[in-house]
Amino acid sequence: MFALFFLPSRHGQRRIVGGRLATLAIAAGLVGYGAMSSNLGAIDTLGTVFMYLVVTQAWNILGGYGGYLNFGMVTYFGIGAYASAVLFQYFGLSPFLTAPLAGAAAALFGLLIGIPTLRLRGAYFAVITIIITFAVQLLMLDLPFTQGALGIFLSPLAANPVFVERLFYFIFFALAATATTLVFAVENSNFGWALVAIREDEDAAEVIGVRTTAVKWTANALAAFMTGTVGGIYAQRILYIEPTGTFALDISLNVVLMAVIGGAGTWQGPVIGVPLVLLVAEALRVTVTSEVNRVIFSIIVILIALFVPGGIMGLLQEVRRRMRPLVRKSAGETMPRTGG
Amino acid sequence: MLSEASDALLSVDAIAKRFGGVVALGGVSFAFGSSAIVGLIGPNGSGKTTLLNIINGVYAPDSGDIRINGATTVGWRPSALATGGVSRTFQTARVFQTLTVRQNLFIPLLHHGRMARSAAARRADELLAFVGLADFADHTASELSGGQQRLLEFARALVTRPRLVLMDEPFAGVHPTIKGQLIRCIRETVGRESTSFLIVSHEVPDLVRIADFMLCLVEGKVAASGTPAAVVRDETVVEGYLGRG
Ligand SMILES: Nc1ncnc2c1ncn2[C@@H]1O[C@H](COP(=O)(O)OP(=O)(O)OP(=O)(O)O)[C@@H](O)[C@H]1O
Ligand SMILES: [Mg+2]
Repeated sequence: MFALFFLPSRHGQRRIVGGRLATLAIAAGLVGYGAMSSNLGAIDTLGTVFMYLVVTQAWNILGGYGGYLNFGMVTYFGIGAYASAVLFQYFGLSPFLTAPLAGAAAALFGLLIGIPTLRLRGAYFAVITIIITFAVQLLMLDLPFTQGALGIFLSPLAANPVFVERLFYFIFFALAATATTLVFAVENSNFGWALVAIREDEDAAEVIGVRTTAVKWTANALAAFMTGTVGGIYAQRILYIEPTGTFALDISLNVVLMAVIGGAGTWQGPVIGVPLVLLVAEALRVTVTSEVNRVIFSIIVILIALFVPGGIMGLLQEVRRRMRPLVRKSAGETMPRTGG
Repeated sequence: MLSEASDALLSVDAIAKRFGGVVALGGVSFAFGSSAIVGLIGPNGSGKTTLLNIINGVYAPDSGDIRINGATTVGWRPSALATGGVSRTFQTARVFQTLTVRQNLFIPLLHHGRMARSAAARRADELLAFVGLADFADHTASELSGGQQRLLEFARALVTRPRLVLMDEPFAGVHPTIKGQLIRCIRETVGRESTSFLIVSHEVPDLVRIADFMLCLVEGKVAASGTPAAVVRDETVVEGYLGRG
């Protein structure tokens, strides 16, 4: 379904090459930093950035392109974390090996829960995703094999701490790079344009031939798989999984915030939004109390919703649009690119 | 009636639909072949939009059958019907607002079999020229006027070369120039591609001008059908819809 057919790009060819080179340079820099730096705190923080980037990109597929705002991404994350913790507890399997299974568990849940929830639109969908988080949290308290409020402990890796930190850094980096590449591919694919059509007007999309139900399910299951996978690895990183912390609403809200601030519905949005939000959150954490912190965050969100609905990427695109020469482009320039 | 059911493009057979206690359609039957322009009139709430929604799969009928080229399509989703050659426009134009005019036309093409990019681009530009929106190809749809959005929605409905196009109130609130444009495009499409149109409208004089056949729904039932001239003179139509005087 992916990339069968590329629509004419909304960007100029030269800018794309420039943008891709910059992205590759940043990626190479991050690899180098992870391999060389001995600043464990920075490595740890960047690991968290990458982890959030995976979940935010996952959110972006259905939320950013498709317009279905999931306020319960932590459900998939938590299911993934629990799946790998349970597989470790009862079968002794390492989360590194079972991460795809953790993803599959979340995807299966996503497929099933999607049957009723993806029929809901707008705020109804958003609200139900929050309710589902609480429901799954309660389920994890009560299931016979999740050890209730006690939670599940995992064994730390038997290796030196610097190596362990670097290992997580690189695993999360690889997952984040994969997720970002995937979303980039989605953005330019039939599938991505089907999602955009759904976001713009779902009934009209269906009537012109977009199989809206199948597209929404696919997007949701894909998002669940990505999030569950990273949740599975997270279990090994945090070493202790219990219902309250694992299903924290904050995580879901952060993800939406990161995508919206960066620019939902663009592959660059999460890349900008995730580090920015984590940075601001960190700065606020060391300067003000957590209550004030939340108020400031809420104000930022409201301001963005009011004044920059497209997030930072939207702002950049607007600036570019205004800088475009007043002479209109000839039709040829916006024809489909012939290269890949 | 309008055409023999066996060689009909669309045949609607005893379609009934109720919403709770409201009987929207109470056994509607008619049929027509290709290259036909069929006008559908009737008072507000007589079931016109509901009928279109049932033909293109938005609602399932409570009973009755819909056949396209002889094959029943009851239970098909709108997207499947779109692929099968049935497209439509809405009572208020519904274009993809933040996309460009050209992108609006690409989306149906993407979901209509594999088409080379260059062929899709050519097809889109051909349609834009046809409806007179070529100069707006790179504008976002939200920058278009209401009438232009109707033209765009119309182009979007035609871009995949459907066999049947359902149009809900295409002339409502549209400047005479754009109305003339729409009518010209409808006629040309019928002539060139043998497409049929089922057009709901309250603008009876316009319909009379272009329709080959006409149907009048009153309270979910076909009150009259036949040539436009006959329908507008029909006693029940005058009584139930047009009014005297
Ligand atoms: N989704 C729905 N739920 C409940 N009732 C509906 C629904 N759709 C239509 N109806 C009812 O069915 C009847 C027919 O409505 P419909 O929209 O088909 O009329 P119409 O002929 O298109 O009217 P108008 O000329 O005003 O557009 C009305 O009584 C309407 O209230
Ligand atoms: Mg109507």
